[in-house]
Parts: sequence; structure tokens; C-alpha cells
Amino acid sequence: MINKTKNRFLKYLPIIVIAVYFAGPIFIGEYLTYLITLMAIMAIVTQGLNVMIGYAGQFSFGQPGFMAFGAYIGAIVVSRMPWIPFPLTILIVALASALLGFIIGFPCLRLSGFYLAMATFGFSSAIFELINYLGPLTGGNEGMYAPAAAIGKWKLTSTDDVYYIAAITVVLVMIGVKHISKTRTGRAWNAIRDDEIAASSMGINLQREKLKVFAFGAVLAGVSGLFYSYLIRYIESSYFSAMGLSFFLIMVVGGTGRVFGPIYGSIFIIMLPQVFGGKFNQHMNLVYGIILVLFVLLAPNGFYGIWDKIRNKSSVNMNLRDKLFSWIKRERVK
Amino acid sequence: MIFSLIVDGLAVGSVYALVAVGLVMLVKSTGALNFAHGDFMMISTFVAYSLLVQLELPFWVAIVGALAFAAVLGMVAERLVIRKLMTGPMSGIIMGTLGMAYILQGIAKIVWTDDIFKFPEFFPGDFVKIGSASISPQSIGVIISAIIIITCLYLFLNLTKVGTGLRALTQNKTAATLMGIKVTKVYSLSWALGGILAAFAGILLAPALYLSTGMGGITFTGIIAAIIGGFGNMFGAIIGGYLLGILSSVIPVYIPTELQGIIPFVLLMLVLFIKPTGILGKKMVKKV
Repeated sequence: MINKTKNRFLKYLPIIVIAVYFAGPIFIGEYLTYLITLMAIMAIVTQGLNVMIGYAGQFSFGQPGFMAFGAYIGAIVVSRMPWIPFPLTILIVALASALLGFIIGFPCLRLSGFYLAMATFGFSSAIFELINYLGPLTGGNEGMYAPAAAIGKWKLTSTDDVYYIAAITVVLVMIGVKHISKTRTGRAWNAIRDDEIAASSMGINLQREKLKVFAFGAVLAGVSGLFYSYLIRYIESSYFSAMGLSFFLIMVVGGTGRVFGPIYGSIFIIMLPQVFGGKFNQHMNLVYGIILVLFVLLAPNGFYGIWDKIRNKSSVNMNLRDKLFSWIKRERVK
Repeated sequence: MIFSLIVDGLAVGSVYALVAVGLVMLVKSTGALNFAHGDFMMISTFVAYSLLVQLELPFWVAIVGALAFAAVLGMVAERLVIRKLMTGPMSGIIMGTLGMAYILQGIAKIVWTDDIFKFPEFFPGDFVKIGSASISPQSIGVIISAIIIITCLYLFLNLTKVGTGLRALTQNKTAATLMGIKVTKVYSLSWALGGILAAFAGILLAPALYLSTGMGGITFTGIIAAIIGGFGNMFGAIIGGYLLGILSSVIPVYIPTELQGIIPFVLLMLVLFIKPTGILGKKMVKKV
């Protein structure tokens, strides 16, 4: 009987999901739609970071830089050529970001650990400096107006429209990452994360796989930067440079190396100031810092790790989990 | 013109060198790159400022107080955060120390607000004329103090028993443990030393630069200096610090001022692409 109900429910599930997707913004009002869109955008960037750090073990401070790059490329191209339909803009931004990811990734191939972190940080800072320097193109410090998504004369200016685009993209990204993690590439990335030398001795082309990971992270960051520019319509480089910590926070809170981690993480991070509000905003960085340190120390696998502990269920990602939890054993050196 | 720029660069470079030496020492002893180093510096300098200006204590009391605060802060950070993350993956250390950086910034904002403060000068006096160049006594004072501090650190690490223990630990942890070195105590010590170095850097930097909660960004400049000189080598870190200081003081003469901020990163990229091990670094080969 239960099974039958469940089956019937499953049969209608796609219809329910699609109905919620389309009817959602009408019922929840503009502000909540805005927040959900923001969550989707954050989840997309963080998914890129999550794949880079959690899957392939390649640390990156470069995500805000790629995001700014995507937003500015989109804005510059579309303001010069307004006839471009937005799917094409997304494609252009994705390709440009992938290219930049390759260009940045190539010299980073020889680096690992702290060196890689610093190189990506340097890249990110350089992007912001360049945006401020190239005033005629980007508006410099004053920022620039970002054109809305448009197909022909049909302009998608409202928050709801951006919500539709971002929500469907986030679902596609999640499905894509879930799929990649089961393919040869995904397993190669995991192998690189666990041990580069062992991976290369197993016939994995380290350079190619690392470049792929860099390009993947760059594309997700660039595209979400474009969506962000659709949402806020006016971009400044400082918006993006201020985001650095949020991505790490979202990743850690959700659960590093978990496909749906970024979604839970971004819901938590976006809703936190909404719930507490007011005074909280002044000391947001302090609270975020405390949350980050507490999670890294006490629940390094985020909500997923807490959930796993509660259910006492063995995790799929044993290797990473074992590593992260190793400090609990407190192997004291005497 | 160039000569006085170089002296200014040496003064800034001394501060970078102090930051870089602290960072490298922490990496070598505990394997943790401290992204909160600049914020250790920032908050200790604020403590010095409060003692000196708000409580009107004598100069040396304020400095000793700030150094003691920095040492305790370093030890607390090591005990509460770093010791647990040390054995884990690198991303955990980066995020833990980044989180600490934001916490320290937040605390500083609550206690001292977001304002900019003028830190009193330690080395007052007229500009010194050498040929056509005029050099501020502050720069000369900073350079000499940094040299004294670095020499003291060198003597401490080489002549005292504790310092020798710290150096032994950086070379081989297992062997050091077997020789009876109390590893946990050395960890605490190295973080206390790191804090003290950061506080010194801040106190030397603050009179030239205004004091604000955003000072912590120097962490990245310090890391870049350390990488340029050769990560994992304290002499390299000193050389890298001075080099970075001089270059970022001289180069802006030849390029547009908007691009000034990019210099350290361009230098970093150049070093990473040409010789990732830095000027004094040895090539590291991972053996299986």
C-alpha cells in the first residue's frame, strides 16, 4: 500500500517539481525570489570550487576573479552588441572563462599546495586591478551598467526571469557534477586529490586533468558571475572581491566534496543574515569567521558530516573523510 | 631621487622581511601557512596604540605589552586551532587561519571601530641629507630596528637550547622527538615567536602607514616575499622581503599609478613561472 502511494507520488514528482519551479516566484514574492536566485548563483560558483578542492584537491583563491571576469565579459560584449540573445551570451562567457581557466591553469600545473593557493590569489587580485585600470572599457572604480538578458526585443529584466535561468542552471550543474563524479574524468580527479604520484603512475595524464579541473571551475564561476550581473544590473569589482570568504564558507558548511553540499551551504549563508538581521550585518565577517573556524575544527565535513555521524552511516567519500577526521584521534606525539 | 626611493623601499622591505620570516618559521615548524599573520600584526599594533596613546603609558611598556599580547595570541591560536588542523589536509589549515583572520578583524572593528588612527613616530627628527637625496629618520630607524630584531632571532635560534630544538624540529620531526624535544612546547614557542615578529612588524610599519583594521592584507605581501626568496628558507624570506620592498618602491616611477597594486602579484607570477622554488630555494623532489 505504502509502495503504491510512493509510486504514485514518484509518477507525479516531475510535474510537481516543474509546477513549483514555474509557480514559485508568483507565490513567494520578489524578495524571497531574489534570495533564492542569489542562493542558486552562489551554489553554482561554490560547486566549481567544490569540484576543484573537494574532488581534485586543487586549491583556488581565484573564484572571485573568474566570477568578475564572467560578469564583465558578458556586460562588455552585450553592451557593444545588444542583439546577442542571452543563451549565446552564456555560451560566450562560458567559452571565454574556460579559455582563461586554461591560460591560468597552464602555468599553475607545476604548482601545488600553498604555491597554487597564492598563484590563484595573485591572478584574482590582478583581474580586479585590471578591471579598475581599464576604465574606458569597464568603468573603472565606478563600475558599469550590466545589460539585462534579452532575446530579440524580449527583455528579461525582472528578478523572476533571472530566477528561472539560474534555478534551471543550478539543477543542470548538480546533475552534471553528479555524472562527472562517476565517469573516468571524475575518478581521475579523485585519484589526483589522493596522491598525484600514484595517479600519474596509473596512467592518468596529470596536466590534462588539472587543466580540465581549472577550466571547469572557471566556467562555473564565470557563468554565475554573468547571472549575478543580470540580477544586480550594476557591477563593481569590489562586489566580487568581497565574496572570497563566502565561497569557502559555503563549501565547508555544506560539506566539502559532496555534490549537494554547496546548495545546503548557500541556503545557510544567505538565510543567516536574513534570520538575525539588523545588528548582525555590521559584524558579519566576525560571525562568518567564527562559523568557518568552528566548522573546520568540529565538523570538517559540514552538514553532511554531521548528518552522517547522526545516522552513523559509512560515507561514500571515505578517503577524504578519514583524512579530515584524522585529528579526532588526537595522535599525540610524545 | 632613486636613492631615497631605495631607502624607503628598504624600510618597507624590512617590515615585509619580518612578516615573511615569521610566516616561514611557522611553516617550517608546524607546517601551517598562517593567513591570519597580518591580522595578528594588526591587532597587536592596535594594542600598542591603546597602551601608548589612550593609556599614555611609557614607550617601552607599550611595546612590551603589545609583544606579550602577540605571544599569548599566537600560543592560543596554536593550541585551539592549528594543533588540530596540522595533521589534516592543507585546505583545512588555509580555511582555519583565514577564519581566524576574519575573527581578529571583526574583534578589532568592535573594539577600535573602523576608523584610521595616526600612530606616533618613534624616530622623530629632521630629514637627513645625503647628497641630493633626503631620507626620513623614520626609514633609517625602521631599517636598523629590523636588522637588530632579525639578528636577535638568529642568535636565539642558534645559541639557545630552545632555539636549537626548534631548528631540529624543522629538519626532522621524528628524530627531534627521539632526542627528547617536547614537540608540543616547541609548537607553542614557535607560534609565540611568530606573533612577536608580527607585532614588531606592525609597530615598525604603523607610523609610516596609518593604523586601520584593514592592515591585515600584508599577509599576502609577506607570503609573496617568502615565495620570491624561496619558501622554507628564512634567509630567502629576508632577501625576498627587501627585494619586494625596493621593487614596489622603485617600479611605480615607471608605470601608471593605477597599476601599483599589481606589482607584487606580477613579481609572484614571474617567480612562480621561472623558478617556483624562489631565489634561495632548493628543488624539492618527492620520493615515493
